[in-house]
Amino acid sequence: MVRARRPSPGRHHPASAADVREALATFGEKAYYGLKSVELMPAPPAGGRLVFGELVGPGQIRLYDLPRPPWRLPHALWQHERMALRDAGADLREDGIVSWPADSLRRYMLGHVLAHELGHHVLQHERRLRGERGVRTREHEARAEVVASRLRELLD
Amino acid sequence: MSVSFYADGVENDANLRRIEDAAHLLGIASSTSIDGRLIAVENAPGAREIYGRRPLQDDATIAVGNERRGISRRLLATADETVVIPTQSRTVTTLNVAAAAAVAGWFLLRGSGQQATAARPEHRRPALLLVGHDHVEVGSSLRSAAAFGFRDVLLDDRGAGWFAGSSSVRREARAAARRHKNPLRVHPTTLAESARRYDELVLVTASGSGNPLSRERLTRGIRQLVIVGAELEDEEALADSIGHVTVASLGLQPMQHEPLRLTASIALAEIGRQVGRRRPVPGPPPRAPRYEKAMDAAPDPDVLLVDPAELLAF
Repeated sequence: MVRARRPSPGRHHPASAADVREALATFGEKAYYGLKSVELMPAPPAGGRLVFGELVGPGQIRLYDLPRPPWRLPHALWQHERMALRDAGADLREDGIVSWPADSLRRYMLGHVLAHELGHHVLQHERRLRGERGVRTREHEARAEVVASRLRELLD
Repeated sequence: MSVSFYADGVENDANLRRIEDAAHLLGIASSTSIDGRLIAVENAPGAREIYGRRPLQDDATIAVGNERRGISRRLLATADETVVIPTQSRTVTTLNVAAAAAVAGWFLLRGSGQQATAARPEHRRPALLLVGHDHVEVGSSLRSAAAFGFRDVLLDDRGAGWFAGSSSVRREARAAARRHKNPLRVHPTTLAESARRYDELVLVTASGSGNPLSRERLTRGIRQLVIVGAELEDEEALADSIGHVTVASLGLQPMQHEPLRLTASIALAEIGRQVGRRRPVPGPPPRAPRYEKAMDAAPDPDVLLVDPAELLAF
C-alpha cells in the first residue's frame, strides 16, 4: 500500500505515490514481496542531517519530503556522498549548492532511496526476521546497496 | 455424556489404530459422525489452549485432522470451538495426530489448571526417562518430548532399536521423531542405572492405583526423574534406588499394551503445564532495527580533534 501525506511547507515529495507504485511494479514481486506499506511523509527533525527514507519496521518503508532544489547545504558532505549525488545526476557546486536538473531528483528517490530501502526489506524478509537484526548494520547497508543497484538497472 | 474422537482425513492406518487406542484408554468412542459440540484440535488463529478448562459436561466430538494438512477448512468452519496444544519448541511444533488426540482428550475430559508461568521454567523441568519396546512409539514419544520443550531424554531401549536397530527400523523411528528438525539429545541408559542417580522418582502408569498425575508436583528440576513406559515388574529395579519413588497414574482405562506415544505425550503435556512458560518481562518491546538513507555532515577540516588526555599532558 502506498500512501502519501501532505509535505511540510516549502518542501515536496519528489516522487509521487503513482511514481512509487510504478517503480515497485518495475522492480517486480521479488522486491516487494512482504512489503506492507510505503509512506510518503514529512521528514522527522534530524538535526541538520538530510534524511531521505527509512525502513522503520518489517515491511514498512518511509520516504521523506525534501526541500525544493536547489539546496544550499549548511555543511560539507563526505566525498563518497558527493560522488553518489553526482552519479545520481545532481549538480554540486563548490559553494555547497546542489541542484537537480530535470527529473533527476525523482529518479534519485526511486532508484537510490526506495531501491535501497527495498534492499534492506528484501534482506530482512528473506531471512524471515521479524524485528531482529539479520546482519551487522554496516554489512546490511552494503548488501542493501547491492540489491538497490540491481533494481536501479531495471529502472534505466 | 457421550464424547468421541473424529479423525478428519487421517491417512495412516497405524495412526487410525492409535486414535482408536486413545479412545479406548480414555473410555470414549471413536466415531465417523459428529455428535454434540464439535471441538477441533488445530493450531489455528484464535484457538484456545487446552489448559485451564473445566471438564467437559456435555456431549462432544473431538476432531483431529490429517497428518500434514490438519483439519479441513470446511470442518474447521463448523467447529463450535477450536483448541490448541501449546508447544514450547521452535522447530517441533506439532505432535503425532494420535498423540494429539490423546492429549486433547485427556485434558478436555478432566479439565486442568492454567499453564504456570515462571521466571526460569527450565530450572523447574524434571529429567525424563522413556522405556520403549517399539521403534515408532519411541520415535513419536521423542517428537512429543521435543515439542514440549525437552532438550535431553534418557531412553531405556528394550528392543526398540533406536540405537542399535537395523537401518530400516532406525529410519522409521527417526522419521516418527521428526529427527531432521528435532534437536533432542537422546541418552542410552537403563531404568536401574538412572534410578540410582535421582533424589525423587515419579513412575507414571497408565492406569491402576497411584496419585493422579495432575496432583503430583512435576517441577522439582534435575533432582526429579519422571519415568514413562516402565512396567510393574520394573518396580524391583526401583527398589534399589536411593530416592523416594512415587507412582502417578494417568487414570486411563486398563489396556494390555498401551502405546507409549499416548501415555508419554499425556505425561509430557502435564509436565509442560506445570513447568510452565517464561513469565513476560515487563518493559517496552524490543525496538525493531531501522535502516535509513541519509547524508551526514563531514567534519570541518579547520577543526582539530584533541584527546583531553593529550591536552592535559601538554
